Amino acid sequence: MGRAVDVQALVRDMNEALILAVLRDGAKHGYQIALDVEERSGGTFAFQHGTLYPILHRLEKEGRIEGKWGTGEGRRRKEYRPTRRGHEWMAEQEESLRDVFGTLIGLLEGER
Amino acid sequence: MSTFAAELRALAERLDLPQTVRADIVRELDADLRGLADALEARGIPREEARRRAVETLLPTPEALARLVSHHRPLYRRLVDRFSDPIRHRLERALFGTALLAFALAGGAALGGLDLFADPAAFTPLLLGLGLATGGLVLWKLFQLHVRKEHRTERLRRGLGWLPAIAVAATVGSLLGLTWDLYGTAGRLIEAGPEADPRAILLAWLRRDTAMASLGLVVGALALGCWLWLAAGVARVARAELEIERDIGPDADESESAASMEPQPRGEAR
Repeated sequence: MGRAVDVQALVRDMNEALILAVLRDGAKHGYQIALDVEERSGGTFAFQHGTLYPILHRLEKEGRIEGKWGTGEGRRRKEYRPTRRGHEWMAEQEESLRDVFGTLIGLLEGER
Repeated sequence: MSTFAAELRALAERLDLPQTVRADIVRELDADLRGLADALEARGIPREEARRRAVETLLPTPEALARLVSHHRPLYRRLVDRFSDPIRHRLERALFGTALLAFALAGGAALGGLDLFADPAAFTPLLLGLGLATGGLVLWKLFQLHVRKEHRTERLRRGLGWLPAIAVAATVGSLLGLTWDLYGTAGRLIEAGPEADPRAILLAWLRRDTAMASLGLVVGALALGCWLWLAAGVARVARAELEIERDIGPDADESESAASMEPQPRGEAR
């Protein structure tokens, strides 16, 4: 029997995975991350009400992404890119999320 | 000037963090709000709607802001924020009292080798008091700046002006002490009569008063040096505050529209 899923941790991991997934294309500003998550998921996922920033800053503190200040259009902007640690975490997460959602889908199909 | 001035000012007021961190968060939010509004506008969304959606997407609700603040809270704040305000104040006072006592004991031990206490000059107690006041003030300001990481400049500036005043008082006090004791020594020489050894009386004065004058000059120099050092630290905090103000700018025209755009909590990525 596998380990039980902590729903809160799952939601947190999903949010972090969404951010790291869109950062795989390259460095992005916070607003571009929010925009990309919404557009690439067809509106299924969307960061609202500034919930993006606590996650971004936590990922940065934990060394999974790196924030750098640059200058664009005459003002300083911060952009984020994944670190090696972030890439490694993402690879582990992909597998783990596939397992969890595979189990969930299997369960739903079995009940149909 | 930011087109999101009212929102950013309200956000900055709620960010109880070290000033440099506050400035970075406001700057990041400002750039992202503008970036998102521009990107949405470029996709054909009307300007006001683009602006409203940018605020709704990126401006943190109180819950999100509390989580954001928790990632940047200084270590000291993380340790003491679990206590209620009266307990925290009592704790801070006790810590401060202990630090001041340690400073006084260390200072007393260092000065023990001098003849300050065995044969004190008239102004020695005053200069020791000024030294203790300098130590207390400097310890408190260092605590505010580097441990509590206070961002309110008015709190940081409070009492700081006493340090140059102490520097002047200690320097003037040591010179006055010298002349005062010299006057007294001259009186003693006259009273002692021709049989007394004037060399011994003069040497006792010199020994007593050079120690006292040295103490006064050291206290004066320390108070001045610490004032310059602390004032530079406070200036850095004030500069970061000014940067926030400069980035945000006046918001008279926008406050009304901004107030109606306060987002309602709806949760994280769905």
